[in-house]
Amino acid sequence: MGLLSILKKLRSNTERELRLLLLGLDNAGKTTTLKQLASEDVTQVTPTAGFNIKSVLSSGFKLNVWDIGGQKKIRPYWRNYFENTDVLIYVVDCSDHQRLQETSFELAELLQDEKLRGVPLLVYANKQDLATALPASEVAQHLGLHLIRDRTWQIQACVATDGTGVKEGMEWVCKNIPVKK
Amino acid sequence: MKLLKFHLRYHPPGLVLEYLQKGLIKNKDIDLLDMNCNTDIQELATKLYQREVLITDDVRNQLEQCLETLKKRIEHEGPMGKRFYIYKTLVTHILPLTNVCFDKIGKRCLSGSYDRTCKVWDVDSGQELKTLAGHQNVVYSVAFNFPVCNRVITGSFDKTARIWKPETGECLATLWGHTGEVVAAQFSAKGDHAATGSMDTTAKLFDVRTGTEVNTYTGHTAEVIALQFDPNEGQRLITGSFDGTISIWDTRLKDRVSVLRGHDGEISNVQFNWDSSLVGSSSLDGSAKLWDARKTECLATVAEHTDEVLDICFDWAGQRMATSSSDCSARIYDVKSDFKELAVMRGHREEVCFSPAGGCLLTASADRSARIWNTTTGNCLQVLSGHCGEIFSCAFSYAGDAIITASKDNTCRIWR
Repeated sequence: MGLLSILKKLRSNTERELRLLLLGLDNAGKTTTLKQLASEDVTQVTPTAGFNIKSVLSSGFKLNVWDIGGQKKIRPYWRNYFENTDVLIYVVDCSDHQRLQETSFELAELLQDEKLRGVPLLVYANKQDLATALPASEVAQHLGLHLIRDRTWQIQACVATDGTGVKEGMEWVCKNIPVKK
Repeated sequence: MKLLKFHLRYHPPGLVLEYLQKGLIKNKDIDLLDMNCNTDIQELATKLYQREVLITDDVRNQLEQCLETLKKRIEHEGPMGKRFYIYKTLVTHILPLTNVCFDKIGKRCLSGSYDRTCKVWDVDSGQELKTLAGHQNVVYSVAFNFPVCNRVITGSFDKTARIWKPETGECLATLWGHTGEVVAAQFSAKGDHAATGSMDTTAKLFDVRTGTEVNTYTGHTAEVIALQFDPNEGQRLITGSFDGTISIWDTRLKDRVSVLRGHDGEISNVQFNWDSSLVGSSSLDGSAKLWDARKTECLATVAEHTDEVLDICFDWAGQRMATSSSDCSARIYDVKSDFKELAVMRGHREEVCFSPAGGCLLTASADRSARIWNTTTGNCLQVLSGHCGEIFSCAFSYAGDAIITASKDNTCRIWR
């Protein structure tokens, strides 16, 4: 992935090509989700100090998925990637009760951003295989998803490490693609 | 007329004669682009002596000495040339790097980053001299104004370009007007103009002193991702676009001078050669083309690559060009005579650049290494390994004694 291919991915995409933005706190499982989507090995995942991009084919669409590092000090730079986003995917670690407030705060910030206005939102309620994980419905409560009026949204329970639920989320994405100008 | 001094120009090889005419000091440039390790100095000196009235009998010795020095400079870099070692690792950007470059004397370098800053580094100490902060998004392209190097231009995804004073870190001007990401920005040779290329399909020309727009170049139907001023007068500008065409503009006119058509895919880079008589272009259609800069005629097409051609460059003397491709090879072609393929180097892809004297080719790749190749034999001379991520960008210093590489591991390395 050289600089030129990043420019290629930046282009205002064609009808059958979508730009998906994968965000969430650090250790939420974004890179694992991305690798799972691309059917890659997920045993070796390290914190992302930047971003990863992968293209996935799904229901006849080419999904360019941008996975952005979630560590606190680099969250202010999330805005770098907002332009031309078709669908926002937010990954939550459902077993991390202590940071539920932090993650809902970050999500609220995102939903207020002008550049992401009206962009459909998919929340992955990740790590459902862990005993302490909250069910998706409770996570939705915490995030205040039912209060969202300006966009379509969906919450999908998943286990990124073994792929459970990841595909279902993508199917929702492909069905809810905004009509392009 | 009286000859005062010989000045040497190392890259590309040449002499400048400083002389006195009617009380005025003037310069005359002599290009010695053909000079190589095998050049017969005596013969060349005789030829110059016969041709130039300024060169008289009593300075012949000096002339030969000068030529000898130039030749040594080329030999120094030959196949037995120096090996590079990690000299400094520059770490402070917290997000990935984009482009990097050296200043003319190789004392400072620039790095652009996703952290929205451009940093100015002292090459000798590895210390950060200044952080150029102000852009609202990724700093993508970075450049000094050659040869003076007292200004920096940055192009950003925030749709602006900025001009900075590297000594103080002060932003002198913000170049507004683009409606898409600015992905290419460069000063003209005289430093009076700056040009920007953008994802909004236009290129713009700005007055460097005032920061005001001089012209908008419209005509491309897709993103403008590469541009270059002609290295001499700086009155011509070439732009390469994802629409598959290359445009030539005259900075004194509003409209396009010519369009070079022929590629079937997006352009990945365009370059002028040293005397700006040729234009080289590389394309994602898998070919590279060479054009006569004064006509719209394609002189040669390089079709040996089996995948997207990602980068193209000329050597400093404008005698050869190199291409690199997704098929994991780099190739060198003779552009002065028959466009013959001179060497193939297998194993690398992203970016290519020649060492200043032309003896080595540097390639950067996703395999986390950069490699140095012998341009005559195509053999790999050295592998620069140590980065923990893909290498995005690489460059030689003007003196050829330092290399800079920028990687996705958020560090920048200097090799000496």
